[in-house]
Formats: sequence, structure tokens, C-alpha cells
Amino acid sequence: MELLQCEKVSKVYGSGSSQVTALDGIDLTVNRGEFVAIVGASGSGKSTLLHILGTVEQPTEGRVTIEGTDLSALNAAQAAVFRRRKVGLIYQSYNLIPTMTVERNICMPLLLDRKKPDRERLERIVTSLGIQDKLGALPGQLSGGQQQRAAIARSLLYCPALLLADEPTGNLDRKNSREIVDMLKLSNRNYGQTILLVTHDEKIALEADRIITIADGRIAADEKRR
Amino acid sequence: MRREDKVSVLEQMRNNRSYSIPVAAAALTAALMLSFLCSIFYCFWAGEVANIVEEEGDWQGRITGTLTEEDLAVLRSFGNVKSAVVSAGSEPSGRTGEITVDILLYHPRRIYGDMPLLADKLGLTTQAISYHTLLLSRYLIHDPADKEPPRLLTVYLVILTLAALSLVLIIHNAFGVSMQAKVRQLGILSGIGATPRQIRVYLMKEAAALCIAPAAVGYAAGVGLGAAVVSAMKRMAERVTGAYAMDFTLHPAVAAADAALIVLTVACSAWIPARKLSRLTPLEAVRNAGELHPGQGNFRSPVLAKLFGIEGELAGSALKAQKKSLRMSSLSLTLSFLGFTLMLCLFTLSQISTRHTYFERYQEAWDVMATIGGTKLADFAAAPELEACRSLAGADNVAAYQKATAAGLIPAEAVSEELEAVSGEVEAFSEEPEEISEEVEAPGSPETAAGMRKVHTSLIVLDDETFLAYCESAGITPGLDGAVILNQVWDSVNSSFRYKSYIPFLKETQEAIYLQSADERFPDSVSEGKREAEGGKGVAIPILGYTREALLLREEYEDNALVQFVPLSLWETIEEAIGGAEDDMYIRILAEDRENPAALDKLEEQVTKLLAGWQEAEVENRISEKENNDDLIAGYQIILGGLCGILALAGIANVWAYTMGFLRQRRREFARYLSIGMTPDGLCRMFAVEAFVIAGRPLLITLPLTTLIVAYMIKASYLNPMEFVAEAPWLPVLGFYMIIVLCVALAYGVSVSRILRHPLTETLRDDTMI
Repeated sequence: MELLQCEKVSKVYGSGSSQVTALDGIDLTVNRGEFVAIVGASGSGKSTLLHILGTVEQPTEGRVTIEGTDLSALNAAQAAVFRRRKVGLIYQSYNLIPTMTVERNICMPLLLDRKKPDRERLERIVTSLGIQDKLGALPGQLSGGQQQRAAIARSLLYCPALLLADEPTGNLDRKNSREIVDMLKLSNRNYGQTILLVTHDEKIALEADRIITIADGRIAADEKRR
Repeated sequence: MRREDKVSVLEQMRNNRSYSIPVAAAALTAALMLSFLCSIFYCFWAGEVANIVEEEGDWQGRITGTLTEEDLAVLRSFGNVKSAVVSAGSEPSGRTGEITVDILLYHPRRIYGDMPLLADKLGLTTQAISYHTLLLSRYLIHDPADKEPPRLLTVYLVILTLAALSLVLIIHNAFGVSMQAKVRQLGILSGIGATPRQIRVYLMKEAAALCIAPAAVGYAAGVGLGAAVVSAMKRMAERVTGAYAMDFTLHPAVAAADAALIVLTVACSAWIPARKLSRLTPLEAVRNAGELHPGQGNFRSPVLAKLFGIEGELAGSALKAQKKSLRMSSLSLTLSFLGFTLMLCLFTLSQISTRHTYFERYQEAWDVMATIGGTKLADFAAAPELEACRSLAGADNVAAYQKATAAGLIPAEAVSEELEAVSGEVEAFSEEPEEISEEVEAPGSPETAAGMRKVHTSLIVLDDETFLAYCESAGITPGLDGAVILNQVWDSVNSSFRYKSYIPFLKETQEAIYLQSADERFPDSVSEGKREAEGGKGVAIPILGYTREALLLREEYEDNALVQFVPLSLWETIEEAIGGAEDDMYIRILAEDRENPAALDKLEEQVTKLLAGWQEAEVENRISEKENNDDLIAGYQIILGGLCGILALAGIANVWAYTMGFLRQRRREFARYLSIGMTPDGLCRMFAVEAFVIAGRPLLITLPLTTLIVAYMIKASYLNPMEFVAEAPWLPVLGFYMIIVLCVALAYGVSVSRILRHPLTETLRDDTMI
């Protein structure tokens, strides 16, 4: 069952002689529950694609649909609400709010929606991520691996349709990287979470069900592994 | 600064206008305030010195003794003596042959050592020496033996130093924020081998380039403002009788010291953050560039979270995380608003009070008033000027009077029942009756002193014509052989001093009153013979009548005294016996055209001309006095309001420095919020909450504090609170506050628009922010 569809998606930065084509007519479909790794050289356009899917950026051309919603039709506020409810974004730099506790950080998308978090779900997630005893701490008091777990917990709490992870292990050592990938896999299997993971690391990419290689803004390869 | 450095720094400024403007504003503010204070203080000081010299002479030390020309030559040949001249009016007197020599020294700081030497050379003791301590103290020269010398100049210098230190505290933050904005660049410089000293020099050069122009403008503007204020004060002083009018002067040395103080203040303000940043390691610098680093602590703001939801909570935690950077802006804005509001409220209270106790109260009592010092009413009445005053064009009613005090003895049974009822609490009597000796007789009085009560008596001696007219208006048979008693005393038990009610003093049964000197040399126990021998003889004077209507004069009749109006003819016969007359006499003129300022000015001019022959005569008119008073208050308000405005400017510059200086860090912060689904509207709300808190804090602190202080003042001065409410300076206070709100809102508005203009993905991509 299709969750995401990209049709002829292009993204061009700048104009004239300084024009750069980051994405060049991408066609892509991702089914619900898939764990997809996107690989490619630096500057190949993989992060741009992730940002477009995360409604952080608009494509110059083409159409992106997630769960039937045409992202190009959304204005900035609608895109923000969509991002909050339907997409979980995980960054290399964790993007936690340094002045708020881990618990408030995790609950932030719900709080922005003026909703109270489901305590049971919260506890289940943080326990499965192994940060249940860190909820009262500030992000600065956590290790990199713990911070990334908190970021994953935040992206999972709202049960988003799609989890987008941009180099989530880029700042972590091998052991922590391994654990994070395991957690993403666990989330994919246990909750049927659809995941798109951008990475440089081939070993991590090999953990995914499907590997899409992007080169010069185009899909160079799309390999289903399972 | 080398040319290429200049180019580089100027380029930086052009590229970072948002960081440069607050720094420039801070430098301008500091220079403006310091040069204003310096120029004003110098003028006050110079005016004070000129005043002292004019009144007491231009000398530093004096030697008094029997001195010859040879002695003078010895004095003049002394190395440190600049001049030694015989003091004007101290030519050798035939009796003692003593003269006084005024001495000026080249090095006045050595005066307390050299003057005894000079006296010694002339064979005189140190008793012959005197010092112009007041003048010397204005040059910070104090007698080493004097434990409490005059300290005016010291006070000026302390205020200036405190102002400079406060400015360093206030504006260093603007520099800090501006420098913080390029911390990543400093990290790179440090990473490629720049020493902390090189980084400091770079930052200081940039600060210098940023501040030279605004500091110069601020310096000139401060001097200009000082000149304008001094000139306004001079105009006011010229109109106010007896006030010293000073000129605006700026000595080159003061101008140079002023400039040096500004440079020092700005340099210290820049040095503090430059030193701190130059010590960062490259890694710390790169880390600092991307984030607001809150450190540890509780950043929750339950109140803001409750009021504004999650945006309020985020704004609160951001504000708490940056409270150090915002401390100075909060302090400056709060102090400026509190100072401005309190100043206006207290001036309003003062104006209401002055109006009640003076302008409104004496509205009908006078139009033109002349005070002639050292003159008896009898002497003036004998001169033609009194009649000439009465015949002046535009003069409707002229009264000449003199005041005196005496002690009165009244029989205990003559005291009114109303006063008896409150006599324990109303201080109408000098002493308890039993303290009066029973052996003392009161000659001329129908009573003996025994069983009599002694009262404070205030005498208003009127020229005969005025007294007769007053008798008629009070319904008393006119006569020049007795007094009219103002039969009232303030009922301080049942009324406040602000809204007084009066009760009768006497029962109005007495036909005469016994008066004696109020001089303490003549207590009642002194025998009549001794009293008479020493000029303290008492007299009994007939009472022509009693009244509750005082003659309308610009006088605050004593509340607890028995006031009596006495004709000059009678006074001339009793003055010798009771004395107690004041040195000055007064002429009160009511004009025909009372509300016309030009008519009063003209009348005042005519009276001034008429009294030109009387030394120590001072003339004023009601309308111009009111205008002078208003001008004076306006002058104070301009000076104090200006200082509050400068303080507010420093606070606003700090807010701009904060919002613009941390743009990069805040972009990162907001990218984070946006990436997890905060809408741009939510972002604007969050910014609005921050601006609301920064602009709201001065209001939140000022309102209760001002209310408390004003309520206390109203209670203490027995004013009607509604009267204050009706005249409270709502508009200026609201205007001042709205300017603060608008400036803060503008700073945040510009900041949020810049953040939103910047593509979110670029911020999220920027690896340097990790």
C-alpha cells in the first residue's frame, strides 16, 4: 500500500550561472511499513529529497503526495502542522531544545498541538529506547547516543506516517550507531513504522529493506533487499 | 590603525549592520550622557566659583596685621606668591594700623604649608592667617586639619565616576553581543594560530572603528544639550529674584578630559567582552557559534506556560537561558521607566501641593509684591514712595506691612470653649498657666499674671490707611489706637493641615490684651523693674474688635498663634516696649487688571523703578512667579526626563544588540522548532511573548512601586487621591512606555522577519551549527 509518491520532483537552487540542480525529476514510491535507505555521495541530493518529503522545503517542479496529501498545495502553516503530525524528522545534530527537559522535548510535537501526551505510550517508547531514567535531564546532560534516542522518541510519539532520518548516526561512535539503527529497525518491525534513512554508511544502509542510490539528483539505483 | 585594517573593519560593519547599529547606539548614548554631565557639572562648578569670588573676593589666603610696604615686598618676593594686594576697604585704620593682605599663589595646593611660613617671615603668629576655604575646596584643596571639609567638587567627580562605571556595565553588553556574533570567525582565527592578544587587538580595532563616529556625535550632542540646558537655566535664573545666572563655558582641559573619559568608558566596555572571547579555545568558539548555551538550571516558566501555552513556555525558557545577556537591557529599561514615572508623579504631587499651599491660596492676596530688606515700615511710610505706589497706573490696592512677634497674656477664662476642649492637643499656649509666677504683675493689664495664660502672638503692622480700610471691611469701628484680633486657631485635632478648619481662640469678652516681648531673655519670672530696665517692658493695647476674616495678604498666618493686626500709629508707640519686629517690610499691590501678565509686568517694572532708591528692594509679580515656577519644574523635568531617556536608549540598544546579535543562534533554535512542526505563526507568538516580557517587566515593576510610593506621599501630604488621579501624568508615562514597547517590538519584529526570510533548510544543513 503506497504511503509516499514522488512524481518528477526537481529542485533547483539559485539562478543563471550559479544555478544548481539538486534533484532532477525524481520518481519514487514508498509503501507503508518499508525501511528505505537513501545513499549517495555528498551533494547528490539525498538530503534535499528528505527535506522535501519532510515539508521543510518545496520542490521546484513535480508533485509529492504522502498519505494522499499533496505537499505542494500546503502553505507554510499547513506544512508545519503536517510535519508535526505526519512526519518525524531525525537529524544528525539531534535538534533537541537545550533549555527543556528530555521529556518536554519528546512531547513537544503534541504540546505544539495543545495535546496531552499518552503516558503509557511515552513510557513504552522511552523504555524501549533505554532513556526512561533520563526524562528529567536537560539534553546537555546526556551523551550523544542518548540525545539521539530522545530525538527518535520525539519522532515516534505522535505515531507519524513517515519517519525521516538524516544521517542519524553521523555524530555517534560505532556502538551507538549500531544501537540507533537497531532501534529504528525495531520501530519499523514492532510499530510498522515507515522509515526513510539517509546515510553515507553502507553497513547501515544494508540494514534497510530497500536501498535507493542517488547520484547527481537522480535515482541511480533502487534495490529491494527483502 | 593600518589602512587595510580600516577597510576590513568597515567592510565587516557594512556586512553586519544589525550588529553594528546597537554598538554604535551604545557608544553614542555613553558619549552623550558623559559629555552632557561633564559640561553641566563644569558649568555648575565654574558658576559656583564665580559666585564665591564675586561675593567673597578673589583670594586664597589672607594675612592681617600691622604691615609695612617692606612687609608687602617680603610677601611678594616669596617664590609661590603670585600676588599680594591690600584688601579693598582694609586701609590702615588709625586705631590699630592693621591691614589685610589678599594673597594668590602660583601653586595653591601648597597654601596650607606656605602661609604659616609667610606669617613667620613677617613675625606674625598663625592667628594672623585666614584661608578662603570655600574657594579652595572648589579646587579640591582642603585644610589637612579640617575633618569635614566642603566636598562639592568631590561629589561631582564621584557622580561622574559612577555614571561612567554604570555606562560601562550597561553598554559592554552591546559590545559583547556584537562580538559574540562573530565568535565562529574568532574560532577559525584562533584555530589557524592567532594569539589571544591578536584577537583582542582585532576586536578592539573593530570596536574603535564602530564607535569613533557615534562617540564624536554623542560628544558634540552632549555638549550642545549641556549648553541648551545651561542657557535655559540662565534665562530662568534671570527672571527669578536673587538666583545666580551662570553662563555656559567649556574649558579646553575639561573638553579634553571629557573626551578622554568617553574613550576610557567605551574602551573598557569593549575590553571586557574582547578579553573574554579572546580566551576561548577554537573548539569552544566553534561550539559557541551555533547555540545559545544555557548552562544548567531550571528554565521552566510556569506562568508564561499557563498564559501563552507552549509558545510561552519556549519563550520563557529562551529568556531564562539568556538572562545574563538581557540583564542590562531589563535593568536600563526598568530604571528609566521607573525613574520617569516616579519623577512625573512626584512633580505632579508637588505641583498640586504648591498650588494648594501657595498659588491658589494666595491667588486673591497679591499681584505685585515688594520686599524691602532692613527697613522699618515707619521709615518707609514716612517717605513719599508709599503714596507714589498708590497712585501708580494699574495699581488698585496697596498695603504696606511689617511682621512682628510678641507674647500675649490672656485670662484663662477668656479662652474659647472650643479651644479649651482641645487645648491638650492644640499647641496654642506657650506654657501651662501654673508656670507663670503669681508674683509678677502685668502693668497696664486688667489682670495680674496669676491665672493668666501665655500665648504666641503674631503681629501684622499695617500702614494706617490699610488698617482703617480693613476695620471697615471687617465691620469694626475704625480707629488707630487698638488692634484687631484674628480670632481663630487651627483645629489640628479635627482637620488636617491640608484642609484646615478653625475654631475661635477667645470668647471675645476682653477689651484689651497684654503683650510683652517674645524674647526669651524676659521670662515671666523676671521682675517688671528689670524687664523695663532692659527694654522688655510689656504693654496693654485696646482691642478694637474681633474677626474671623484675615486681611488677604500673601502670608501664612501662624496656625497656633493669636494673630493681631495693628496700625502703624499704635505700633510706633509700643515697638520700643515689646520689640520683636522682623527686619524686612512688605508692599502688597493688587492690580486693576489682575489676569493680564503684561499689565502685571508693567506694574512690577514701575514699582521696581519707584523703589530703586531703597537698597535690598526686590519686586515680583504673581503671574511671572507662577510661570517661573512652571519653567523651573519644566527644566527639572527636561533634565531628569532626558537622563531617563538616555537610560532607556541604552536599554533599547541592548535589546537590539541581543535580538540582532544572536540572530544566527536563534535561527538554529527556530529551525529546530520549525522542523518538529511549529508554525511560523507559533514562532511569531513566541517572539511576541519574549518582547512582551522584556517590555512588560518595566511596567510590572514600576506600577506597584509607583503606586505604593505615590499612595504614601498622598497620605503623608493629606491630598485628595482623586485630585492626583485627575492630574496624574498618564499621557507622558503612557507615551514613554509605548516608545519602549514599540522599540522592543520593532527589534523583535525585524529579528523574526530575518529568521523567517532565511531558508530553513540552509540552517538545518549548516554543519557548523552542530
